[in-house]
Amino acid sequence: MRLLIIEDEPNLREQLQQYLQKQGYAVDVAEDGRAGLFMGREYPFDLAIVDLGLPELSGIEVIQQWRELGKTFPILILTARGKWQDKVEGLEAGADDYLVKPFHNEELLARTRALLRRSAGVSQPTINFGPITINTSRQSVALNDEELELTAYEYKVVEYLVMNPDKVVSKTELTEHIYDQDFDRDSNVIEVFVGRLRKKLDPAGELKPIETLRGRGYRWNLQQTNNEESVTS
Amino acid sequence: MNFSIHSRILVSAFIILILFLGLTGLVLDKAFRNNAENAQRENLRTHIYTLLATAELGSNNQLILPEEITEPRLNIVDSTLHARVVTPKGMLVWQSKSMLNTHIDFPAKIKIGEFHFSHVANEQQSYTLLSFSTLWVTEQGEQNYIFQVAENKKTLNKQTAAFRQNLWGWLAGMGVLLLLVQAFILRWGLKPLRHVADGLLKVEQGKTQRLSGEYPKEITPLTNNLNQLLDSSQQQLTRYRDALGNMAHSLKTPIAVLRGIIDSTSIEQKNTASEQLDTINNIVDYQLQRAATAGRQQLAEAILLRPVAEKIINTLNKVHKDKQVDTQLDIIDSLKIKIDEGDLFELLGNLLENAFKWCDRKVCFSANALNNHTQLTIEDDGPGIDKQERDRILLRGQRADQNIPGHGLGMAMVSDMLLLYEGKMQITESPLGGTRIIIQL
Repeated sequence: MRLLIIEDEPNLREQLQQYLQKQGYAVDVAEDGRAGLFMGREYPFDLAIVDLGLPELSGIEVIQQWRELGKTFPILILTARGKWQDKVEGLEAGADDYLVKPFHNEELLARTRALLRRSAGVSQPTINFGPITINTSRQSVALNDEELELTAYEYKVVEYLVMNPDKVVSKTELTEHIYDQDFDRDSNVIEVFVGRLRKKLDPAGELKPIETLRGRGYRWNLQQTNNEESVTS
Repeated sequence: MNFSIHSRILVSAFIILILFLGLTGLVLDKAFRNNAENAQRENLRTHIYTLLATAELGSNNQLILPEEITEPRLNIVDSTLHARVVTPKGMLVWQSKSMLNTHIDFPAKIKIGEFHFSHVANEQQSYTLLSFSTLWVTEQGEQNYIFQVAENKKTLNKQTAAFRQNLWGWLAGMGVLLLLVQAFILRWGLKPLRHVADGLLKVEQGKTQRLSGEYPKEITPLTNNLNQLLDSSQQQLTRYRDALGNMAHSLKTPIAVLRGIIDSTSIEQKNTASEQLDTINNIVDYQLQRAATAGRQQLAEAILLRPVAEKIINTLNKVHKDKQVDTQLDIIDSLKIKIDEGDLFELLGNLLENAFKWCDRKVCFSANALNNHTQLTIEDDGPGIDKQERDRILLRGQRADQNIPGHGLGMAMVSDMLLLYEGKMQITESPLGGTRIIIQL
């Protein structure tokens, strides 16, 4: 999952970037509204965290312009004032949630995860696909209740595919969403990840969770089964 | 007692008019009466002279007067004018025909050569009398005779009554006319002041920002000053809000940075440091909110409640999308509430956010205009609040549940704001199962 942070305060920006990267997200940053608007327009993000009080172009204007351009990724706004009029204005402009400064990093993470899940149409952090269970808050995958050992990138691939169900995801798209802008990409790596994932998720070769569509990409092939247990993040 | 300028001037004008017109009436009445009485006396004197002129000595040295006198009233029985001639001993020498059937007590002793006026009244009639005693030279020497004339006052009284009626009628009419003119002048004269009062009312109701229109030069300084005051308070408000916003921004970003540093280190004491940061943050939030609210209560305009409530509920529905909260909004479109818009957003935002946070599925918000206040009721079907927690929740910065940040502060802000708007808050159980908060503003 690739995130964009627009925050003008350098310390906070850096902290957030490092924290979210540690949590397994690809994170790009912008320091003012104009740069942020450009990045959100040009690159495929899964979520944006936008400070409302930005130089050059206000957070509200950035959000409005993205929405006018048809960008649908979820947006979390950060507001220093905590005034209700600001929150309402931000959400009316097209944001999906707000967080009042200062905040605990854990809370930011919880909101980010919730928004990402919601945009994928998943309401609980635990998603079941028959024997396969994915816990988005613990970032873990279990097969028959046994936790699998996945690398961070393997998890990112699974998560992205799961969050985009019934959609053919190209290798380029996967690359763009699991790496941030500065990463040196190699799309062949994706094939390696997918191959390893197939072995781990489906050792018997019966489930076939990831389908390959030749020349087009991959598709998550399992249907979500009802969540009986509800785990809160 | 606090009378209006209009009634003060009108009442004093009324009193002065009554005194003035009353005194004028009395003087005129007196003058007329005197005049009429003088005229009557002159008339009587003329009648005496006429009688003297017609009297002559008879053959037996007796004074003789003709039966018919030139003054016709003396010849008619029961008329209003009477005359007689007597000797000092009371012997009747002559009397007019009008004296028949009439008894008048004339004075008996009169000095010779003098006119004597007097008044006499019996049960039915009153008379003005004139007597004149004279010496008549006869062959047997000087003989004393008294000529007496009496006029019934009926005519004089009638004239006076007619005059009075006329006089007082006119004076009353004039008084009413003057008062009406006075009232009209007052209305016209005080119109600019009423205009100012109307303008201020409109400002108070929030229909306008300042006093508009042309005013007479006497009150132009007043309206100019008022407008300056209104402008400056408006500017000051804006300045306060900007300053507070900037201050919040400048304070909170460093706090956010510090919080981030603490979150990323592994020192054991980080929890203590984090709590302290929370406290600082809550104090900043609380004081900023207080300061922002305190400056706004004057001249707040009445605003429509429903659109604000809808905006907040839409926002909260978006934020709590996962919960699929069933919201019921029971507010008529035209309901207005006299509160600053920013304050209303804070008030409803904090209350509804809590309801959304705590509810299971359902949040109801209703508002009604009662006698002189508006009652807002917010209910949810959540776990509710214990009775002892309810009081604690209203205290500054105390949280009903430490796990959900910001709960207590929001409620403390609400109760603080209600203090400024002289509102009331009640926390009870809702029939839905959760909390019911009733606000009276």
